[in-house]
This record gives sequence, structure tokens and C-alpha cells, in this order.
Amino acid sequence: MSAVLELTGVRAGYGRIEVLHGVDLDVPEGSLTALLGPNGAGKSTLLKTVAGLVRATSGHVHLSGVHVNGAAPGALARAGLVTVPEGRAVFPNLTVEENLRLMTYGGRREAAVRETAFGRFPRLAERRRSLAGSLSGGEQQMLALTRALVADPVVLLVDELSMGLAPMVVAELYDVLAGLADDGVTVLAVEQFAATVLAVADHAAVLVHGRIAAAGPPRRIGADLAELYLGGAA
Amino acid sequence: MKHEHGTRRRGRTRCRTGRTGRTVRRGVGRVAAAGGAVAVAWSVCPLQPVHAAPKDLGGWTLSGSASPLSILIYDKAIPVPADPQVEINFTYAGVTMQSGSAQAVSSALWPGTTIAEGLPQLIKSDKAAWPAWARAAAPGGPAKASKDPGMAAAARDRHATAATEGGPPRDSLGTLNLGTTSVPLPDLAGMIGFRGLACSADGTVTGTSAGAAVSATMPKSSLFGGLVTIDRVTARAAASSDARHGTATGSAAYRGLKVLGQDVTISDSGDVRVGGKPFLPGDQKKTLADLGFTFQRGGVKRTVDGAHATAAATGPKIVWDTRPLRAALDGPLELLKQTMSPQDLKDLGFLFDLAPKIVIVLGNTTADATAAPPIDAGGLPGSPPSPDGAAPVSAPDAQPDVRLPQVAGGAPATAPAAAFGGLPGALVAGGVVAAFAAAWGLRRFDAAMFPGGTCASGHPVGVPDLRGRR
Repeated sequence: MSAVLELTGVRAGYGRIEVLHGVDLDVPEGSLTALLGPNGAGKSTLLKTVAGLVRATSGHVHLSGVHVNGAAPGALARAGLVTVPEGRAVFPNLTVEENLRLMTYGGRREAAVRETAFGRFPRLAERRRSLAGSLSGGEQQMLALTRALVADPVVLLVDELSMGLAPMVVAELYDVLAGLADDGVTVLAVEQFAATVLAVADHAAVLVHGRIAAAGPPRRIGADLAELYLGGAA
Repeated sequence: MKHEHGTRRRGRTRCRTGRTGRTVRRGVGRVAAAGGAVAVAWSVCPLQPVHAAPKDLGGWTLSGSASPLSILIYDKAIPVPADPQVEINFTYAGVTMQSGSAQAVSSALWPGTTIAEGLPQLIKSDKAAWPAWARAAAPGGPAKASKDPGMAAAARDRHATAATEGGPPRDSLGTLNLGTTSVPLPDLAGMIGFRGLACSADGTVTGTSAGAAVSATMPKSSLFGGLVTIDRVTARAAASSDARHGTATGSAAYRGLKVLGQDVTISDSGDVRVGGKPFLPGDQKKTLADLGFTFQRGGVKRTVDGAHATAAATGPKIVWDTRPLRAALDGPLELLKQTMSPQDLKDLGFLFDLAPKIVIVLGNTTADATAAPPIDAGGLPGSPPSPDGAAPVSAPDAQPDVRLPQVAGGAPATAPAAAFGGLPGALVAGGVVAAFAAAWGLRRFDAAMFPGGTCASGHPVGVPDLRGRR
């Protein structure tokens, strides 16, 4: 399976503070890859760098064999690289339906958006007239995922899906991501809490202090996780 | 919807009959082509607001934390993935809120988020848990949480609050569950020799603003076995945003600082003085620097960048950088290393690299807030709900009439042509159009014009057609 996303020696940060210190990572096409690491390791920065929101100061980000350092985030999104940001970023003062209607902004018809949302997440149909701010955390995350799916992603970047959610809900959402990977979508999921994502991931990597400390099969990574966190930090 | 479209047309009419429009038409010689161009330009004039001003913010992010006494330890050799690597906050309150979610944390002894929330990961045990905190969250709950002694937190989607009082307690805070073993937390009051610390954090979102306010209070206290005493420290910080402007405020004050029983002041430059004279004889700064000590008076830092505001207020700080002293231990420690087995060296070797910087902060508060303008949902397509509650139905092929967010109460923007009239305006407009066309052409046909552009590793540069791979 070839890598659709390849990072080679990528360094990036904010101003004078470098967060990624030479990251090497391959994400195979049509796979669900879990990127694990402790708080502050640089996971979100890595996603932002791939998405074009943070510019790599050196190294290469190759997407489908094309060097995309410096590409505009909008151009990457239009090409099929879609991000689900940490914190969901739904419009709390709009209903579920109004949030869905805003998703037609990219040109999709409302009927298609509703089909995607309610087909994947029947719970959203039940709550369609509720304000998004009143939804449970899991329902908000479903809404955020819908926004990404509506964009017809080829590569999907997901940041901290589990944040503030109950384990059962997290498992349900990761099952959806695994289903997407089975359909050919390449998913890179950043996660701080590993158990659930490792259960469905095809590959895993651990980022510690801005470097990939290990990469390989989820089972092996899961077994070594604590040692990787601590060893990598030392 | 019909009414709204009608309003929009009226807006255009006003725009076309204005003085600027007449000037432009005279300037281009009243030729038909220019008239057409003007008509096109008018068609993009900003429209008058067609909906009632929305009454709610579009989104917000705010946070605040407060602790009367923080001890922060910085050392990359300590295997904890956080910065600082170790922190101990004697009494802590914190809130974080994002659009639709909120969290409040109250703790009598707070080791930082990495340790408190990541303990199960760090020691690889699902049973591991930090015992001395109360956490409330929304959504997901619990909406309220409390714990003895004096820890309370509550969170709803638009209001989060945490308050911690009376700490640290005289008794142990409980047992730190490490999965395979348990460790009782120590008697903190005995460790630091005083009680009565208090702090609070509050995050509130209304229809027009989002703000965080925090405070920390330390009553009469003594540190280091009575070597340092202080009558009172207070620090307050607040940050708020109305989606257009941020506001940051803060205050920090202390009184009655004594070292070895003598009244002491700390100047802005960090000089410690007794009655206007240096506290230590000779070159005080050099003496302290040789030992790695610096003192800071504390104060308030405010940053406002558009709608984003940050405030940090702290009382006095004592910084002890142990590196100058640590250098003297290199020789003996090297000898000790040689006596250790390779496995012990692997497990404990990091201890030999320790040279931490220890920062003691009396009154440590920060608040941060930003908000986004309201979303005007009134222009969205879709029929109103039917009486039977069925979902609104749109015409299947109808394209959405989605409008960009507008700032509530904002004055309608003026037409861009107002600043330029006549032939110069037409030339500028033409130049802009030509530049757009050239840029579009370059972007569209750059590969044809400049073939062979690759990165250092030989890959083509640009944006791939990912969907074309399917």
C-alpha cells in the first residue's frame, strides 16, 4: 500500500518556538493511522502543517507525490484534504439543520448534506431542531464529522476526536472513521488517549517532543506506549 | 424571503443614484461600455443589512486559571511531556470554554493538566487517578462537582466557575492511586506552614461578550520555615471580548514582605532592598546570580489584539536556576555514574542531568478571551418548520443563499468606489481586473509556462488532484 501522505524531516513551529523537530511519517493510502502522543508533543501542530495552516520551516510534506509545503489551506481543502479540528467548532447558536445548511456553502446541495448527516448519524436527525450548543459532546462531534464528510474528503485529518466524550461514544465515532478508511479514505487521527483508536487503527505512530518516537502496528505501539511516552521525553 | 430581496433591491437603487455614480459616469465619457462596467461595479456594492441584527455571539474561546502559590520546575531532563515539566499549585481554580463546551476544575493541590488528566497514560494504568480535584464539564457532565476540602466546580455551556478555598488542608488530601499501588498525599499544611489560600475562576458568555475573570489570594504566610513571611498577596486578571474588541484588566499587590524579619522591597529591576539599601552586602546581584537566584516584583501584563485579549497578573516571583550550582557537582556525579550498572543507568540516568530552574510565584493568575461575530442565520434558505414538525424542505435544485457573517450592529460598509472617482478610478479598477486576470492565468497555467518545477527531493510542487486518483 503506497503512502498518500509523506512527511520527511519536517520542522515547524510558531515564531521562534519550534514544535516539530524533524518529523518523518508515512500515512498509507486508504488506511486509518493513529498519531498518538502526550499533551504538548506537537500532534495538532503536525496536522496544521499538513493542512497548510502552519508552514513547515524545513523538510518536505508530500501529498500524493506532490510537494505541498506552502500550499494554501483552501487549495488543499478543495483538492480533498479535509480537517476536523479539535473542539468541534460547530455554530452553537444555530440548530443542527442550520449548521447543516451552512455546509452547503461549499456547493453541495442541501438534500445531499442531509443524506450524509442523517445516513451516517441517525441521532442527528432526531436532534435536527436542537441548537448545536445544547447537543451532547458526541452529537457535536458527529456534526463536525458531517461537515468534513460533506466536503468529500480523500485525506481526512482528525484532531482529538475523543476530547470530552464518553468511551462508548468515542468507539462509535472511530467505527465511522474505520468505515471511511474501508471505503478508501485515508484517515490520520490525532489522539491523546490511545486505547479506542488503536482498536480500529491500521497503523500507529507516537509523537513525543516533536519527533516520531515509534511507528508500526497498533498492537505493538499499544504495548510500548507508556515506555515511549516516558522514554521519548527523557 | 420576498421581503428581504425587496429590501436588497432598494439598497442597490440608493447606491446607483448617489453622487459617486454620477461622477463616474461623467468621467468615462458616458460610453456604454463604461456604463456597463459601472453597473457591474455597483452590483458588488456591499448590501445594506437585510436582517435584524443577530443577538448572539458566533463563537468564543476563553480560559482562566488562578493559584495563590505556584511552584514551577523547568528541566527537560525530567521525563514529563509538559512545560513546565513539574508544577505544583497549592490551591487552583481554572476554567476553559469553547463554543458549545465548557470545563471547570477546582483543586486543593494541582499538578498541572498533563499529570492530573494524563496519569493513566503516563503510568499505563486505567485505575490511576489524581485524587485532589473536582471537575465539571458541559456537555457530557457532571454539571457540578465538589470535594472536600473546599473544592467546587460547575459548568454549563455558557458559564463555568471554579472556586477553591481554605487550602491546603491539615489532613492528607487522599490517596494517589497509581494502579498497582497507592500513595497517600502528604500533609500540605505541614509542608508549607500556612492555610487559608483561596482562588476562583469564572467564565461567562452573554449575547454580546465572552469573558474570563480569575483571582487568587494568599493571607499572611511564611515560607521556608519562617525565613520569608508576607502579610498578603492578591492577584486578579480578567479578559473579555465582544467579538470586535478585546479588553484586558488586572491587578497584583502584596504587602508586608519580610526576609529574616526585615521589611523588604523588590524594585522593578529585581533589586531586593531593606530601607532603600541592598539586602546583601557587597555586589548583591552578583552574589545572588552566583547562587542562581533572581527576584521579580511581579505585575500585570495585558495584551489586546483585535478581539483577542490576554491578561496575566502575578505577585512576587522567586527564581532559582540551579545550573550554576549543578556545574560544581559534575565531577562527583561522574564518579557515581561509573559505579552503576548499565540497566540502572538507563532507568535512572536522567537524574544525573537534572539542573532544574525552580520558579515560585505568589499569586499566579491568567485570563484569555476571544469571540467571533454573530452568525446571521436569517438569510439561510429553507422553509419554516411545518406544524407537524417535519423537516423543512428545500427545492431540490435550489442553490443556497448563504451570506457571510456580519457584525451585529455594525455600520454598513461604504462602497469601494466612493474613494475613487472619474478616470483615475476607472484606471485603478481596470488595473485590479488585469492583475486578477494575470494572477489567475499564472496560477492556472503555471505548469505549462514553467515546467519541471520540483522540490529538493524531486517531487513536483503544487497541489495534487487527490480526487483524480480515485
